[in-house]
Amino acid sequence: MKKFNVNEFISLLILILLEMEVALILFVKDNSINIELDSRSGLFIVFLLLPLLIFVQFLKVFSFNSRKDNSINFLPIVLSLFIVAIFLIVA
Amino acid sequence: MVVYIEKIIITFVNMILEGLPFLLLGSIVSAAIQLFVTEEMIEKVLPKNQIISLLIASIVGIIIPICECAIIPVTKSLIRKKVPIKIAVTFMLAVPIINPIVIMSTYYAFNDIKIALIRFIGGVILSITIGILVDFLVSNNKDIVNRKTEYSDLCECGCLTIDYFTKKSKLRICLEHSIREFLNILKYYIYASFLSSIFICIIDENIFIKIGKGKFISIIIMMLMAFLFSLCSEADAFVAKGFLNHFNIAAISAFLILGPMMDLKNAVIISSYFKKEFTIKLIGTIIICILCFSLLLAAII
Repeated sequence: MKKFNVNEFISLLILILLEMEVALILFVKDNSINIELDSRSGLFIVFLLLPLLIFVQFLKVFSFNSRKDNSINFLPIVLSLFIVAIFLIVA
Repeated sequence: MVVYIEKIIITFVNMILEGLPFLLLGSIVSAAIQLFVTEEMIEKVLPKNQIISLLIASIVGIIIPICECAIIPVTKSLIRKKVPIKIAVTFMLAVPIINPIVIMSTYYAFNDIKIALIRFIGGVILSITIGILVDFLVSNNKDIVNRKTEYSDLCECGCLTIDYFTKKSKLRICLEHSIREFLNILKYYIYASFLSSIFICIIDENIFIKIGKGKFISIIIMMLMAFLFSLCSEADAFVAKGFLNHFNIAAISAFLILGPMMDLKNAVIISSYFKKEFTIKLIGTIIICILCFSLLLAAII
């Protein structure tokens, strides 16, 4: 039976947070952050592709629950994205 | 202390942002290949002549851009379908190095065609050599697949859950695979980036340079790091770039070649898919061959 899947929801939040951070780097914090990017075009590709993945992931939020609880696997990603977010906000 | 932490965070964020496009593209291409190219198709491509098969197995990665985690279950299936061990092992070791995303990211990271070429040629030569040697070492017992894991090789991408059997378009399944693959790769990439950014920022550069001067020791250190860091082959070049000022090209190439072939993550997966004896022989052969190759490279350059 299809129901709210927490693991898929966390994945969705990660993708949304990532998209927001990439947008922040590309359009808001363009010159103010202390990061030396070799190429901005790569991040543009990420910025363009992520909405598609977010849409697909959104459709998976209400799905069959996996037998395994993988939420712990997302912890390093979530923590890292928060570090990046804080860094971008402070910068 | 605050300066160090700030430096670590900047290095860490920089590594993630630089690797992100390759991780995402690699995940999408990898998912597409996994979904649209079957093992039977790969098997059909391999000719009956074993030398030609070995050569093809070593360079087929050019059109199969999948990383080391994804190639292990495919290799197990190939071996179970009676593909010779040397060809399957060559295929398993070469694909993560030879694929275009890895070569492109290596060139992009170093901005030097020489390092990309060393990685490509070294990958081809070493994968064939290791494939032949491992086949010879296990010649008395060709049954190398661990039967205990016959039903435990389910990938974590969700394709084997009930969702897979519902009427979804292939494109949607492919994108769902991509997301799983991307988040999985990102996790390992984060671990490694964090560790390497600490390593790069905390360690005294003078000790670093002093260690890096000895050819043999620097190769050993870089191989150890490649093994422990377990970086994805699509993004390890960006981490290796950070070591370029401290280690010679031979040590860097050892890092770039060993990482995709055998790291901690791979060793764990391989030991669960294959019998322990095979795993130990494979790891030993890989380490010895790469060490010899790097020493030879250090003598030439």
